[in-house]
Amino acid sequence: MKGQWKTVESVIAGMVILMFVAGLASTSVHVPSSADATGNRALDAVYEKGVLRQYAAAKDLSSIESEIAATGYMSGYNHSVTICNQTVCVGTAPEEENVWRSSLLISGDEYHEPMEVILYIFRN
Amino acid sequence: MRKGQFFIIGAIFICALFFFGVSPVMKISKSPADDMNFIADNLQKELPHALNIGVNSSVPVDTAYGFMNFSRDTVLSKGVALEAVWVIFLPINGSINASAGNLDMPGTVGVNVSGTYGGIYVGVDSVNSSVFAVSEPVFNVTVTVSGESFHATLLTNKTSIYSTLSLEREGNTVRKEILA
Repeated sequence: MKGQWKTVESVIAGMVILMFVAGLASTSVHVPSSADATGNRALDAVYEKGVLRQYAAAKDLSSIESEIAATGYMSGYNHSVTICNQTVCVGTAPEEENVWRSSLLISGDEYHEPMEVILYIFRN
Repeated sequence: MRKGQFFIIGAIFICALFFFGVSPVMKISKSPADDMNFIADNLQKELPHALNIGVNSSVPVDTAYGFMNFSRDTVLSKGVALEAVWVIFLPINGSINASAGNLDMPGTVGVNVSGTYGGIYVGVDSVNSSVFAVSEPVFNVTVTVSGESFHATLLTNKTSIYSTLSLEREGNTVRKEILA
């Protein structure tokens, strides 16, 4: 009977650990939605201005970043841009903690080259 | 205290150490459900551009399919599933070539051009076409997908596209129709 109680208590201990690990694995990251929406608005503003397509086709990251800064949506944030086509990405994602990500799909400029323009927003 | 109770206390202690010892680091975040409308609007604006590029390069059907396929792969990385059906109306020598394509929506696309009906069957992720004779400068078209019909009047001398798409993530669905 003593051994059976020890077994039950060991099983309970194991279940506590497993439940904790499972809880960690399923934890979703809660991010303020405002930063994502801000990124979307910034990208959309540059797109509607009519310059995003040509800069993206030319992989001109600095021009896109300047245009995004000029929208005024990046007040209080830092930002960077990468452009990815079907095989390769130009630019690097930031290493900071707490990074928000927005993106826009482009079909190409004069030629068919589908790509994703990714805007990263972060604080120092 | 019994040994088993030490096991339970030890497990709780280890879990507490781990919980307080790990700093919560949020790296690249999952986008909230609100961005699906943004993606849908993006596709609504960009698919016609893809078609234009394809027309200029004389490969409109392949270009539209290539862009939609890329879009599906890209939004999938955000946990969004994209399904779509589209029909491209290409003027060819006094006729209209209706080319249907799809992403994960196989089936028969009903196309009625000025009273002439043609069912275009498309398998998964494939394209298929049918030719309709048109003699007027404009033609009426009805596209039927999954029992729902869309009506439009299109120019005979212009390449046009109609598409219906669906974005789904975690029970949230956004649908969009595109005509250009």
